[in-house]
Amino acid sequence: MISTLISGVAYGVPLFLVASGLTLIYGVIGVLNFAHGSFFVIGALLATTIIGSSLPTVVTFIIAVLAGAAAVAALGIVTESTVVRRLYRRDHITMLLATFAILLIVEGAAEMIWGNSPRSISKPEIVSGSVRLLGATIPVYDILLVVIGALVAVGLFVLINKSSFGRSVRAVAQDAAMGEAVGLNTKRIMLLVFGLGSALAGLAGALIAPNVSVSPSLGHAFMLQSFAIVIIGGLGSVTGSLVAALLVGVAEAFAVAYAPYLTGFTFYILVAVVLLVRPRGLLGSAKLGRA
Amino acid sequence: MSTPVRPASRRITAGPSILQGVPATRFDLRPVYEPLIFLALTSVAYFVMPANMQYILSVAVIYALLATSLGVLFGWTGTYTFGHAAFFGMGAYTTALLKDQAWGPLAFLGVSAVVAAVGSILIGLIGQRLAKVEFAMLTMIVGQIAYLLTFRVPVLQGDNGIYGIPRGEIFGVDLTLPTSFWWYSIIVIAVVMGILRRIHLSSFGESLNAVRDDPVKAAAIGIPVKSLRLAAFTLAGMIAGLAGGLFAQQGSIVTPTTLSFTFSGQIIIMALLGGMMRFWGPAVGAILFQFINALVFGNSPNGTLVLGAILLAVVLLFPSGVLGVLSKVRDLAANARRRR
Repeated sequence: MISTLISGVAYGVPLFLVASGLTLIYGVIGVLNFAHGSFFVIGALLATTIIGSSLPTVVTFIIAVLAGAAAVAALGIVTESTVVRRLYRRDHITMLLATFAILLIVEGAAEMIWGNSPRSISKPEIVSGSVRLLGATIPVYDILLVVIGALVAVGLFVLINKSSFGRSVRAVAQDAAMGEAVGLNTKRIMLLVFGLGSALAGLAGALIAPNVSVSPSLGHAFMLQSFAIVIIGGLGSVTGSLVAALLVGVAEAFAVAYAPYLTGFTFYILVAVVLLVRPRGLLGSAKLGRA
Repeated sequence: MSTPVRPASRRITAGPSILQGVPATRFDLRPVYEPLIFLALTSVAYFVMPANMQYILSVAVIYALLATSLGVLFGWTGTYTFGHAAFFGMGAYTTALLKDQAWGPLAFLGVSAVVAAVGSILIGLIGQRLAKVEFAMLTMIVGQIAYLLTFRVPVLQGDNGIYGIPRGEIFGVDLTLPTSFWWYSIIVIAVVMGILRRIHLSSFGESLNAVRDDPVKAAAIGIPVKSLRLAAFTLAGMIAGLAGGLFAQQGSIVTPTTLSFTFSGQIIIMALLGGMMRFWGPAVGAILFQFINALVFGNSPNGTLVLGAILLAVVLLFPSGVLGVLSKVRDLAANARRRR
């Protein structure tokens, strides 16, 4: 029971990282970035390249994770400044299609660079064991994931709600034209937010790499799952994505443990239920003028 | 907002004229002669092609119908969906599961269309309260559920797919021959396209365009926006299901790829390539796409990359698609002639 709960939370953390980046970008810029899933994969693939087949030391592992996040942040910044920026004045669908095109391009590039064969890496020795806790056996890596997830959640909360940068970000999210008028550099803020959201995707990819077999097609599954989480939590709400990711992770873990025939479907069942009950998601606000 | 608003088409009203002395045009013939032109052009192309290209074309015309059904949503109604492959797959699997029935080939298509229509009514009802973007994401998720179901439900055979779907015979003509199947499929497609074109030109089609251009104003002048969106979604799903049934008969095998998210994306690319805002755009785009795909980069290892680059170029440079570019060229030429 306890172990199911912990593994569910640990499963939810990478999802939260991916989805929070997605929902942050949507909340501030109003762009639903389809390419987000492929950014996530790039982070994972970079980590596998840096670590290779060796048993990584703690330092190597940290470097791999940070490098994944940094490289994907750079990718996000390039994407924003070359493609997305040109489309702010166009309608939603153009943006969706453009980011879908970027998804295909990034995925194709990943196939060319890394090939299609799945790769796996090992964790540093210090976190590859498991501990007894409250009468349940829990992998140390899961605990590490939970800790990192908590740190990122707190960090994001502080950044958005307590810092001056966060204040400008919230201003741009509310009314970009007004922000521009009172002297905010909205272009730069949007660029930074896009970079930050992408970095979260890269971080998630690098962190999950030791737990799954990584291949360029991993992005699809994760993208759909993170979209599901964004819908459940409410578009544009980072807190919502945290709640939804944990909910989904725990539901999935319980499904694996007690109702195997439901594995892989819990997401979708939750989405359907939430949409029927609250069309705007758990913590989404019904904004006017978004028909 | 920034959707290109078409100038109102020349409405040809049926019935007696209300203006004295102005003779009423009795009947708009476009739904009749346009599909006939389509049928003639594709058939001529089919019979002058080498055999390997004939196969590509016979799949491409089925995709043309599928892309047109997507055009009903993207182009006519302004509803975005990223899971259209689900309804195509539903139709294909319906025909596949019924392969042991001794029905005529058209009956299979009918059942496929009905099953997909029922499916799309359900999705449309669930999604009725959602905003545009959420609805698009919902369709994407539904598509993924359908895809996963093919692996979970034993009767759908998972990755192997269902094969050995018979083509049967119609009016005593055996459809196993490629040529006779070509005539059967192209006639079915042309008839359905004609019906769609008729709907497109009707007041129902005009109302859909009103919903697309400004849902709030459309509601204000009394157009039932929600019901129309649901109707359009159902129509699109139904036609996609019919195309799926045809596809199953054509290839005599159905695999989960017909439902995949990638395929949903490809349908969008097809429609976009030809131009979403014109009735024949998606069909032209689908045929073009199939040939580019098969002859240029279908077998190359970096097909995904090229596909993405093409899509990005179309979105950034020619958002109105091939037909849009052609009509621009035509306008420019006409202007040049006028200046002389």
